[in-house]
Amino acid sequence: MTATVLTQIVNGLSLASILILIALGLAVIFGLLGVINLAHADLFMAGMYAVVLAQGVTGNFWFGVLAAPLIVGAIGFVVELGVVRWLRARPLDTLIATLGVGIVIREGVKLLFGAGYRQVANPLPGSIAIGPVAYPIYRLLLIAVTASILAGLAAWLYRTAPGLRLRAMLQDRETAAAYGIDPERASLVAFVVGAALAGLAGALMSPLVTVGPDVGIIYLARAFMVVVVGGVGSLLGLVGGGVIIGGGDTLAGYFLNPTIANAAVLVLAVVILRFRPGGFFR
Amino acid sequence: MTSVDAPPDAPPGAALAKQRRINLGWSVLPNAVMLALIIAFPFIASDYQVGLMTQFLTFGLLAMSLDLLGDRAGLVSFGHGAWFGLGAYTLALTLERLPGVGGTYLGFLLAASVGGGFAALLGSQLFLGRQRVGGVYFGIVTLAVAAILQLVVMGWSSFTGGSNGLYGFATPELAPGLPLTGTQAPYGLAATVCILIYAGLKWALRSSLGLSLLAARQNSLRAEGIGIPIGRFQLLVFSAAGAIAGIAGALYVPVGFVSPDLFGLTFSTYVIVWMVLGGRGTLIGGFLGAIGLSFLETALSGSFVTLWLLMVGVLLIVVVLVWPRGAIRT
Repeated sequence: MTATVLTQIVNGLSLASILILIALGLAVIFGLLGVINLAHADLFMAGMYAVVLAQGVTGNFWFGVLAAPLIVGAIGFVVELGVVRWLRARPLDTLIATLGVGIVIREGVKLLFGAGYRQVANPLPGSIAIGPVAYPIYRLLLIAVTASILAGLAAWLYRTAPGLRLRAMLQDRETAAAYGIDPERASLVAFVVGAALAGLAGALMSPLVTVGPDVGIIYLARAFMVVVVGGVGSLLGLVGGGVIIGGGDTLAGYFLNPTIANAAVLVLAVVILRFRPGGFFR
Repeated sequence: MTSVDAPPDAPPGAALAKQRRINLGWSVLPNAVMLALIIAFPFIASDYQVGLMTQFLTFGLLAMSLDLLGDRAGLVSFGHGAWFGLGAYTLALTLERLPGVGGTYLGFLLAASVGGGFAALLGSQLFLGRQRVGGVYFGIVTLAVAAILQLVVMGWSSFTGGSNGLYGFATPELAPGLPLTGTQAPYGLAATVCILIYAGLKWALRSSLGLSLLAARQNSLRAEGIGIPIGRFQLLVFSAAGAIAGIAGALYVPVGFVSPDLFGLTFSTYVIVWMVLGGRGTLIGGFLGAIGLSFLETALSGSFVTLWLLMVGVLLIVVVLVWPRGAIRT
């Protein structure tokens, strides 16, 4: 019994950290720019293909993890300069345009890599014993990595000059500009960082899923819910959202058919959004 | 402001009347051409094309309902395909239990009510509260709602057929001895319904209610100031759009099967693409966009599909950036 409970707790933690990892890039772009990036799922997927590519060339998974944020960040650079920047006053059109960006990335990947499925070998197979339970090392590593990325992001936003500029721009764009902050540049930085984080998340997730051009879409709705349930623009909220959705999913999945559990948690998220449109942790 | 067309002593309505005549002339001609094309299509096209066209008409109706939502409520649903799916599943499930003419009419009625009712239920929660959930948040919520419905349809396989969808249900019948099989009967029904709904919407949007809706969308603060209940208006438009999408889904059923893909993000994305590329705020733009793009996609089959979709994505970006109103303008 204790073993089951312990497994469920670690499962919940693992899923929460995975959801937070996936939602990070979305949260940065939404929180700092107010832009809902519907291409997020496809940037995430592109990160997986960066690993497929790097592993094919060098044979080493970790090169892929290094390459993914660079490649996907570069895609983000182009998207911000070419698309997002011009739609600042039209948030609904930004959604539609980024939907188009997503299609382009997805079909581009299909052209380059084919529509078939790929497998990325787990670089750290094997398990560690936690008390009476053996748990896969890689999933435990992901929990630690997600925590470190969160800490790094918080340090960047709250302890460095670029982070300060971004927060100033978020608070008051015009006043920030009057103080010599270039809001266009700051927006570009935020978008590229968000895209790079999506790519990194894809790279780290690639050993755990079957990689295919449509893989990102499965996570999109849940990633959105993690961001909005917790509260847009707050890293703490993101963690809370991840724990609610991930924990709820694991808990409900213990009692219900997993598909229905998935649906039930999304219903919960919509209900939370209805009663606390600003998010739960505000 | 006086118009140059009217003599200075003419009553103030004269210029307006003349203007209206001209506008009427402009709008009657393309409508008549379209009507003629829709009527003539089954006589000039092959059976295969008529079958395709029937499906595309239902897609067109769906895109029209999404455009209604955007134009009169300022809302874009990113899961609008789910309402189409609701309508299709409702009719298919009804026909499974009650075959024949009665089941067909009941199913259509239920499809409209389930689509409209579900939108009303969701809308009452989103629009009537102290803090309205609109704009981009409405987009996320509809996206999530479609994902929820898809999960439920996949998970509840004893009722919905799960990931296989539903097939083998009774053929819908319009009257004893008039089943919706082959190509002509389903086409006739779909075309008639599309024309009736389009005409009805055009009429309703010119009424004072339709104009108040437009006012509410264009300047919500001012509209609220003169006493227009925006939340209730959005609820009304969302319910109407949901009901029309449900009817469109039911019209799709003569194809012979319904699948959970109708609830998927990809299908809902298509609906947005049709509406945006066809032209927003016109009703007919999305309708024509759906038909035109679907035909093009069918024509470019095989390995071309990926390239076609890539082009659609690029077009979507370009149209939103430089040509936000799309191809058809009125």
